[in-house]
Amino acid sequence: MPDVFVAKKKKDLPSKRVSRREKRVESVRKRHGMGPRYRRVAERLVKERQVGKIKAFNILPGRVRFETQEVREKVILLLRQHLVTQIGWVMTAFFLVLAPISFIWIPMVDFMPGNFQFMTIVIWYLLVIAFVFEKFITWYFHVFIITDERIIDVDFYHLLYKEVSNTKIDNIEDVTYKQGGMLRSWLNYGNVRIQTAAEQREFMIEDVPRPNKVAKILNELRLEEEHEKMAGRVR
Amino acid sequence: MTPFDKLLEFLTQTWRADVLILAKLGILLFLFLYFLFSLVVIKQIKLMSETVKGEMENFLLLAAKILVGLAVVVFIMALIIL
Repeated sequence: MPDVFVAKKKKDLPSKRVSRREKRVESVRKRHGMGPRYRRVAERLVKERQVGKIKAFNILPGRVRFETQEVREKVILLLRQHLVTQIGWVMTAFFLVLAPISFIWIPMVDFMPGNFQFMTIVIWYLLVIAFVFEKFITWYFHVFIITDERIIDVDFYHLLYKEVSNTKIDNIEDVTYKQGGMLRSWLNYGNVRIQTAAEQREFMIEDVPRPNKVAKILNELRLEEEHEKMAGRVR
Repeated sequence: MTPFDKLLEFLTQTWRADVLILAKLGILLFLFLYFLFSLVVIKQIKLMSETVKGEMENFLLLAAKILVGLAVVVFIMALIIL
């Protein structure tokens, strides 16, 4: 009597090809004492990756490096103040650029000789350039970096004063975010306050886009650190 | 024109010349300080690039160097024009 069902022999089954990347991920998981279904925060965020040269909210900015970065430390978030908070100085600069046009109707420099009038306008524009440049680099370098191990707050107040402070993710005790006002709710930006057990008790990220996402990622990183501690992996 | 009027005119002209010289010195001093400021900007961008290395540092450094060049050009222009 013929068999109703004959199973294929094992050797006939198509062999599962494992890519080098999968092997590497698997070895990392084994090394970290994590199960096969565990996905690290950095892995989970790959699909949401957002990077831009002047973006305020960067997820997994691959090219970003900082002074005290360790070899295996990965930058998860790079945050700056929301672009809308910079409108004030942009508008000021715009009006300062246009201001010398008013000299056509308001004779403010007419009492000076022609060459001095010309130099006054040149100096005016030099000051405007300096103003714009200083404001831009203050915004650009005033960043908050969240890695898979630490949070780093780089406060660049102006050309002659900066402050860099950092703490480990393990030290974070509490993360709260605050969004108040119509503009902040509409454009989805606000402050994130991080209470720590470190020497610096509090870190504040001001006017950052998507504060809810920042708080969520920080909480996930805290859980990941706890998981790694339980697995006996201490970096 | 009375001698007193002549004296007044002389004093006014002299005073005007002094003001222009003072203004010229003031402008040159300002431009020199601006040149120093632009050098500080370069130094600061280099320092900050060491602290946080992103994607725009090279562009900012180039812009800062252009600012130094501009400061030098305007200083020389002021020496010639004024």
